[in-house]
Amino acid sequence: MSGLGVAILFGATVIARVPDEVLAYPNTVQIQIGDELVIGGEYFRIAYFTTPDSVSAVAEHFFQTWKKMGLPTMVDGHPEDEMVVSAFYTREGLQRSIVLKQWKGKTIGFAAVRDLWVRADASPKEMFSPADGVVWLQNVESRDGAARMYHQTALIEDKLGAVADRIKGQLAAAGYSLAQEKWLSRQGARQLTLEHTRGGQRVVTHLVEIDVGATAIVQTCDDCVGDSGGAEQMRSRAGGG
Amino acid sequence: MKSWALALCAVLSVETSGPSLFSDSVTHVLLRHMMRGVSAAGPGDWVSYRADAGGGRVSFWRFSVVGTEKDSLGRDSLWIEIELGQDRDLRAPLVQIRLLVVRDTGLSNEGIARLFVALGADKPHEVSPEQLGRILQSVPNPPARSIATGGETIRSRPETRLMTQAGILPAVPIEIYQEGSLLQRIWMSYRLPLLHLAKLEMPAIGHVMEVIGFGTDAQPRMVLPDPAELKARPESKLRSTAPAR
Repeated sequence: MSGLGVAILFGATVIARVPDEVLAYPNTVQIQIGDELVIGGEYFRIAYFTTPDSVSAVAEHFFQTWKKMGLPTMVDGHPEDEMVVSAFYTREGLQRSIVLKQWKGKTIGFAAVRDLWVRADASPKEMFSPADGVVWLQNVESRDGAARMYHQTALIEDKLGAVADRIKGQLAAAGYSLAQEKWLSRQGARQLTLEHTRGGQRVVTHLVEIDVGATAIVQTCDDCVGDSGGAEQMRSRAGGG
Repeated sequence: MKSWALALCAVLSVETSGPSLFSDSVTHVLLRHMMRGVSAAGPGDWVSYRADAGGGRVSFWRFSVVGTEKDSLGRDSLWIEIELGQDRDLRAPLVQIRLLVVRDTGLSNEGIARLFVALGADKPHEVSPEQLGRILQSVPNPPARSIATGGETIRSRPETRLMTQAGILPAVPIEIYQEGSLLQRIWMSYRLPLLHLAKLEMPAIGHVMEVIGFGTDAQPRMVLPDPAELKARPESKLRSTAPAR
């Protein structure tokens, strides 16, 4: 108990007052990538910029600027490899990060805003939702205007045929028809591609038997509808940045 | 113990039977003042402090009254926000607490009727009455005694004008001596709301806490959970949570 209190009380440093927001690195154009990105249920907004300045110079700029704004700020990485600078907006529940990478004499910076409060809990019902046997599962959803793309990668502890049957059953229940089923064998591993359609919507599923009893899945859905309420909340708290 | 419970204990645990890490800190004395009640405070009152523990260890506190309400027992109560952070403007506080405090009881374990907590960038949440009761039971109340015991001597000096970062204030210095050595000098000012504390000095260890601002126009600043998430207490009449002074 006391350790926390003491850390809170005495771990601080003097910080000046600079209320202005920082949206972009000086003399660069920040280009947004899509509208929103949902990775593993967390909302992100991502943009990038390039500059001839060094990784360490750019990292120092953001670290000092955010620190002067009074934000808890941290920096990690190595100047010759990759550096990450993060600031935490504790009132708004947002994290702003800059990921910096040296590439062909330039520094590429990825600026991300991450929502720490709101999660997209509901996946589109078209996406495979295994009840058991999940070794690993990752969802990525990108939204750009009216276009939406939902990707899911998973490793399921089950045979390829059994997983494929479960996917077919789930999509059939969602009103999809099987448009194409293609079997392949590459380097001794069985692969299956399924294409399901419903009106203008399309779900493509690649299944690979990577080991006896284990199946890897990459599933993509165009224009699937997931939970979008969180994105609205994030936009309102993140403002224009 | 959960992190929010740790923060609450950090705020309330100001008087323990044995030595603690807080026993010689500026916080110890500041919070002891708070325990004496908030009966004179009114909505809009706010006061902020800069605490310097030496070696660049600086923190900022803000206490504000952001609303009134009756608690579930019908007692007049105040909504008090406490913010703690590294920045003078508290742009991104490390701790945010909103308490419904019974006016006549003050900030003691009997006087806290409701509690919202946000630690770091975590989403603010309300502590359930059951959890709150368990935590408050574990926090000892300050003994009803004078602080002038066990070799302590208190000397009150005449009122004088004290220069602070919030301006020149009329203040009464109260000095606490421990076996002849000056332990603490507390400057109390009737001009300041809530704590009436203008400055606190602990010369032996170089700790100083000083008022840097006060006023009567406080608005709620803590973003509370969505009302739909508040399953209990429908009688709540919390104000809007738009960031304000």
